[in-house]
Amino acid sequence: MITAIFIGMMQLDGDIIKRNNVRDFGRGSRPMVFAHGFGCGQQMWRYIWPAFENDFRIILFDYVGSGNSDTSAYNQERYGSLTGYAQDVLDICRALNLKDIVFVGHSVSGMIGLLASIKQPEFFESLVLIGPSARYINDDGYVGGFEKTDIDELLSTMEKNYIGWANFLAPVVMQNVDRPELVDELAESFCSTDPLIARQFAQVTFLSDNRKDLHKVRHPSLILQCSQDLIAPNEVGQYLQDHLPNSTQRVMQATGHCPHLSSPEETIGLMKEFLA
Amino acid sequence: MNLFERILQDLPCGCIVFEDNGKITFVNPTICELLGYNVDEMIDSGIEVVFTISSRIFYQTHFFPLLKLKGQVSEIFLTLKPKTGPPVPVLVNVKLSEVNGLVSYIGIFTAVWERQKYEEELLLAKKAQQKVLEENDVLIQLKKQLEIHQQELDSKVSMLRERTDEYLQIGKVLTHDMQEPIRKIAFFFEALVEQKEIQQNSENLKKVDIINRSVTRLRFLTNALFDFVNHSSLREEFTHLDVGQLIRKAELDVKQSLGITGFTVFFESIPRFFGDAAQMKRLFIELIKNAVQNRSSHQTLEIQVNAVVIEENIYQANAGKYHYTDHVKLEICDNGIGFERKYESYVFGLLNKLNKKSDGVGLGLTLCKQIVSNHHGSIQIRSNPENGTCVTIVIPVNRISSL
Repeated sequence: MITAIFIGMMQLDGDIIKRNNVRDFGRGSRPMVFAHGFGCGQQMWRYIWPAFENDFRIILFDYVGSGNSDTSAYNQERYGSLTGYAQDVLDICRALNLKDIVFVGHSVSGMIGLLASIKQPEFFESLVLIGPSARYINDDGYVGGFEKTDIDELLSTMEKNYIGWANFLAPVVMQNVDRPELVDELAESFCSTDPLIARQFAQVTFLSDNRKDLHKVRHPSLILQCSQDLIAPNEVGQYLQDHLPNSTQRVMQATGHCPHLSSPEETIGLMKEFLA
Repeated sequence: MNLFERILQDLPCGCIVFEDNGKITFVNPTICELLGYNVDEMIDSGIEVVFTISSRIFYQTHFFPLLKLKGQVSEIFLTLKPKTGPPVPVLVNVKLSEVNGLVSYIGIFTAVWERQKYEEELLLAKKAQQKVLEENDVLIQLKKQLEIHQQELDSKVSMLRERTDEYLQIGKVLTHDMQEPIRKIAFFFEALVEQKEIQQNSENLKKVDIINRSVTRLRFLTNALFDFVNHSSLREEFTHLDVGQLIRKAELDVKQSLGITGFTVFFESIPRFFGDAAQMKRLFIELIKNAVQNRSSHQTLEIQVNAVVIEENIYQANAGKYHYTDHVKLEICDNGIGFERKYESYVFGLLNKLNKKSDGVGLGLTLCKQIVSNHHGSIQIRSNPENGTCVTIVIPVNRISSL
């Protein structure tokens, strides 16, 4: 009886590894979990994790519906809320039996990570939030950077890019691969492949409001704020710093919303400073 | 002007060259004309200024990552924002190159006014079709699920009815049928003990003592079980609970009933949730009692209650169903003697007890589990001999039926 339950659990864990396309490698024991944002998958972290693989256990994954995850596991009800995405993170922590993780989340994954850390603090040690925002839409004195109409237009832009321009969804062929772990990425599609899933993720991301959750966070966090970030402008970063307990904000020289792609060295440097 | 400059000048599409940080280093006349800017206005500004806000988001979340990782992006639809006038729909191709030794991206922008109209029609038709298909699919799916759920529910309800009947019968047996013989044994036993032959023999007295203790224990056990059965069939009105007040009352009750006062329960504000006040108070009594009975002899007992509102799936048994609602997560932690991790589920079992020295019969946590389940919540316990015990309870803030 006990054996049966045990085997059942093992299968479940294996399912999660496959479901979220989890990669678990690195030579350290301290786990570092990288969570991608809206739009793309775990390949986003390609320039960052090599700087940590000697000292950390690196965990990469795709949210269900993104990257190379098992799209058949997508559930509209579950992923109709950031809590559903946070559950992915918690599922992975449980499946890999992780403790005291350093969670590195880009964009919406900042909030997803915070939600997960509130629910099950025992999995977490600290959080690195790259371009996070507690709310994207302006609201009665709060500056989020967007109006509701901007988001509606974004959804329409996305739809038009899914009409059938195959290039956008085609497998990404990587140049200069000299790392065996990356070979598998060759056959991967880069961004979320299902237009309906991408649409719902966009809605959930840009319409979410997590300002009420910030005070519940217990772990230390690093906010990496880019200069001239349209998606998470300075006001948003400042709001987070003011309301997120135990947080440190660093304003980066990097511009745009993806410093881990445009300025990996600066990103890595600030992460190392925080984790030292 | 040489031939190449001439061609570039008259190219029938917009051309912008920009650097890694987005700074524009070159524009051709066609793009200037399309956007109503002159060359100087565009040079040195960021590439994002030419996009509408929605296209900027798309640029940052999809376009730029793709460009960065692939070195080239083709046939992407974006919308440009001219100085004045309506937005311009364009198709964009961008390729990584090197200009004057600097990493640069060369982009061409083709206006797609006509094609856009066509695509909009296409999208409308596709959406309408998709909606019908989805609705149909959803309906078929729902019908199937409903059928299955109705059958499951039916069998579960009938099973539950039988179980409840059995349960109440056992309860009845415990209350009357068992207590009566115990009372009789005790009565006649006392009469027997008073007889001289028994009093004079020390061997007999030892046996008498054992029988006496067993009868007391049996009586205690029956009373506890009666209390357990009785409590679970008891239902009061659910109200929004002042949890802090319940904890204080429970603390007082335990101090009075056990006569032990050297401990404190610490907590800050606890969010209200919907529940049965009597049951929840009983739960806190049981948990505080456990903490007191398992306190460490080296340090003063401290019980810390923390609460946070989290979102949790209201569906517990139905795999694949999700409805996230606010739940209160209560953590009740003590600095007592704790127990080995392997007993974390054992302790919830009926009549299971770890601390052989305590007076309890092993019903406290079973009762807690039942109370939590009456509140549609979940309970877990984590413990180790170094750090004491933590009980985590997650209960929905609002009544299930009012979702």
